Amino acid sequence: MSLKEALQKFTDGIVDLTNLEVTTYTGKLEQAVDATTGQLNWDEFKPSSGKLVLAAATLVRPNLNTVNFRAAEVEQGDLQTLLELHTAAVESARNGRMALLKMFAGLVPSISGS
Amino acid sequence: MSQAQPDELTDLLGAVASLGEHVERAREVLPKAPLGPGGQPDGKGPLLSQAIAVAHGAVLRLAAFAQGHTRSFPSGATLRLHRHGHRVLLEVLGSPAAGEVRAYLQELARIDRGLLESAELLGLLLGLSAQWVAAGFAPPVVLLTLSQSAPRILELGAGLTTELSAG
Repeated sequence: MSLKEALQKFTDGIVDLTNLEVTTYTGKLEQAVDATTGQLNWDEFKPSSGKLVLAAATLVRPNLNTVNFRAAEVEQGDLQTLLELHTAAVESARNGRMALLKMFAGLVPSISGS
Repeated sequence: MSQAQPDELTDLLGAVASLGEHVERAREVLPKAPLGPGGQPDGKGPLLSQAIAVAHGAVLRLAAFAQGHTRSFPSGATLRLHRHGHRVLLEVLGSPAAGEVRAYLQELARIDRGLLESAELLGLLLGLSAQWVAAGFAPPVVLLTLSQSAPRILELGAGLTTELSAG
């Protein structure tokens, strides 16, 4: 990913400072690997895939009310480990939001008012 | 309050990322430009170069965060965190060992820390960038504003403790 692409992805989030969504999927490695190329097929990571399992999901609303989902059980891996990773992903998402607000706090009025 | 547009913000960040090029161009056009606040020949060449390097480092920290984090481990497990706007997707393939999970979490925390430490500096750079874009990157504006802000940029850069290494 180029620097410009990375920056573009980051700024795409600027217009939506509403909800924050974090989802964690798991599954067998061979289910997500293209048998021909040996490359990971990331398109398999969607709720309708049927191959990979949603282990946990978190929705943080603007008022900081939070909705959490966690699977009762998973076939692959240790659920506690998955939840530990998910919690770290939520924390990272919050950190990103915090940094973003700090970065743009003084900037948004100046450029939107121009 | 109206919201900033992503393209506009990407342009501003892009301007910061290519700061070195803009300064080089400005120096070619204005090789003896008076840059100091009182119109003094600036004598700040090294200072500007240091400020540019610090600014570039801050943008790289932002990019490291934005691009997410993927690691494959000896156990065969792969962990991938993907960010897009307000969504974060974490993919756990296989069964990572405890040590692998710990290593991944440490790396993720380091990348987060790099961004959080850089946020104030990035805010300052974005403010400068908005001025450069508005001025069409006019060399006098680029050099003067950067020269005036270089001490503060270096001050904020001195607070960056997180190693800038491949994530």
